[in-house]
Amino acid sequence: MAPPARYCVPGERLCSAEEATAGSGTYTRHGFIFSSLAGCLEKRSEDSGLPVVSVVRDAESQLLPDVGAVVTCKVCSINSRFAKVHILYVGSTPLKSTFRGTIRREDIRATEKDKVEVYKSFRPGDIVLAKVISLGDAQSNYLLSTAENELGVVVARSEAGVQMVPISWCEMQCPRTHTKDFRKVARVQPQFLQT
Amino acid sequence: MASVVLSEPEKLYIVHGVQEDLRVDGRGCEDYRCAEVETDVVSNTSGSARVKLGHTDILVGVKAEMGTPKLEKPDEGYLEFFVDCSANATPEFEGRGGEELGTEIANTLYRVFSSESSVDLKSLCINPREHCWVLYVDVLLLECGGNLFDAISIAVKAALFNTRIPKVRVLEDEEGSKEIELSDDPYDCIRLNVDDVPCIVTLSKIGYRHVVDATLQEEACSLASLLISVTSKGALTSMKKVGKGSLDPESIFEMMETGKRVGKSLHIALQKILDEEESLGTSRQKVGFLG
Amino acid sequence: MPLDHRRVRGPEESQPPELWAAAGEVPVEGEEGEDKDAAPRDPCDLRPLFARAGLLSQAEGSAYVELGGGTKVLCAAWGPREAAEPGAAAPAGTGRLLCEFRRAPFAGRGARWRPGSASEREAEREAAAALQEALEPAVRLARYPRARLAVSALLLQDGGSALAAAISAASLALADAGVEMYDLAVGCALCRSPGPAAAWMLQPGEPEERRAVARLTVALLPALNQVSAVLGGGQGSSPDAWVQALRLGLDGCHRLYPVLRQSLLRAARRRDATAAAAATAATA
Repeated sequence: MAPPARYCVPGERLCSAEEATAGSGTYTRHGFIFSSLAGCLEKRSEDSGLPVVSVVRDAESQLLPDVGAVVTCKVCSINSRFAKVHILYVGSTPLKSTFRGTIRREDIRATEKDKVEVYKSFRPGDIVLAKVISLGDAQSNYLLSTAENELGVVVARSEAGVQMVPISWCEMQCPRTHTKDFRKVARVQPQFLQT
Repeated sequence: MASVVLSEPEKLYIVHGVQEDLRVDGRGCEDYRCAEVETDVVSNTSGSARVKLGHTDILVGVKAEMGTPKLEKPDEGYLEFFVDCSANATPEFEGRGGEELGTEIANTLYRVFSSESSVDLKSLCINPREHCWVLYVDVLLLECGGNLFDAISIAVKAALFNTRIPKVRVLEDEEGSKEIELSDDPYDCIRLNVDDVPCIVTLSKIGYRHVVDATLQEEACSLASLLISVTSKGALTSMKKVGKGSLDPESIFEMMETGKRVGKSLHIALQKILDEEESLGTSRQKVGFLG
Repeated sequence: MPLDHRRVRGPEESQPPELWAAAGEVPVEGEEGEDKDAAPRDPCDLRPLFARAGLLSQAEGSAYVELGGGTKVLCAAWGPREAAEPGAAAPAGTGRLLCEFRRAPFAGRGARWRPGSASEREAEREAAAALQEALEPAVRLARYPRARLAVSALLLQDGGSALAAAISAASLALADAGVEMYDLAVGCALCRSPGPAAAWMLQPGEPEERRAVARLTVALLPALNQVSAVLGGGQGSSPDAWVQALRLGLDGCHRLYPVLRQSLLRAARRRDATAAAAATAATA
């Protein structure tokens, strides 16, 4: 049986900063590594260099959308200039409360930005993969972008209420009525497809 | 609160200056800015004072009104503080914006004056349980240029010094009903003894040192300050940490020592000015506002 | 004449009879006498403190702190949420910590406070501001850009040293919620009774606090040895006396810290154990 796990509380000194590198749930001050969470101490040695010391909580520690993070969101409203979304997941971690974000028209795709039309890219209810490009300023909330091949709509329903199938990077088709709808479709990476 | 935006190099410049005991405006760490004190500036009040400390401008008016004593203290009058952060000082105070700061300052003043010795409240009693004088101390922020608390406390002390409360007598007729009679002579009035009224000294921690009377720029460099109230005898009556940061114990002890030293000399200087103004009497030339 | 049921037929204000009894030259001895028996206590004595973290099921983090003598504080904390009004007040790049302090209507001794009355709201807001100032240095707000953390303290019973207990409980609740913190904040209260030679006493009870001429609440971040809150006032005394009081208070904080730490460790173990049990149950 493994030795009993060491638990620590915020502010507890774990070790000297020379013996290890600070991982998640820790901070460094005055040359020492301190815990910043109440949780279980973990020391992972890596083949090269110093072991990484981190403090983990069993419950997923609350993540916040960060610049550069890929997030999963749901479109809640659109207008001619931007789409408003609710951020539901950061990476593969569900958020405990939703955060609002905005995808501006010029951030929808990388090319021909001036010809983009929001209603030809998203519809309310779509599930979209997007990347956080800014935390926003005093007036706006999180700014998101889908200007990459891997980003865009992943799940959308047609007017008949059936989940549509992507047929190109900018179109989706309803399997029942065979009507085509415009979307900014994401080419989902195979590693994300396991369900 | 009114705040300025400083770049990192500007902050560094200020912090390094403080380290060398030389501040941006040429003062040392324990020096106050030049202060102007003028009493009796508003004629509709029982006592008033205006204090200008650098770019901080405070007007305090004291009005004495008759009220009923508080239940717990039937033989004492009491003080009421109200701080109005007018939008003149900074546009952030418009509407309800200044309310939070106003209550914070008022609460601090209540704490500073909570000590029984600061003002002789018993002298404000007219007849126990029924009538007493209530001193409404209204503080107006005309301009915010850092170090509000110190300037306000100086102004409050000056205004209380200036306060004249009319003398009244309680007459009792044979049926036991009481009547209050106001003295005929308008110059027949009570003065408050302000010898024990404390002044607030704010010590802002900047880098490894602390400064008194920080300007707005210096306040932006300071994460935590210690606010202490000192009487003219050098006794501390209250203390409070303000700001987002924390302080290490040793520096708090040092700050208290500095605060006492600075506070004592502040009291001496203030008392000198007040006595001078008093001796001039009506012959004093009034400067008034923007003078 | 029809009766107006909405109007309370009585005076607008009422006063307890004790106030008038004292004026009638009848010495009130009972209470004084019983206090005198308890008076000679060691000023360095701490009242027993009970702390438990992680007891509310709905809140992300919670804590309960009870001091011997009757102070009971319940705290709940909620992890990062989207700031209601984006970017307001908080400097860019950091989160905001919102603190709330409520007193139960029956918390105090004597007459019931009218909930929502102006003076009550004022007192609560002041305590909340003090709580926020004590906790802010302990929380790594830079880790939560554009988000808000909330902590609310509910004072169930006020038996003295309430703010200090609330600071300890709130920092436990935040740690229990998994909020990244530099350190726990430990609060401790002191008071000085009237009399020239009276010494400062740690963690006063309600009667001691009521009679005191000077009160002080300190909060310490023990691991960093930083003072995050100093709040006190009363009769003037020399800086040396206040320094002594501060030292005593900080020493009290250091002595309380192990209790809080233990309670947090216990909560963390319990949480892991239940999670492990749930996992084995799910696989079975």
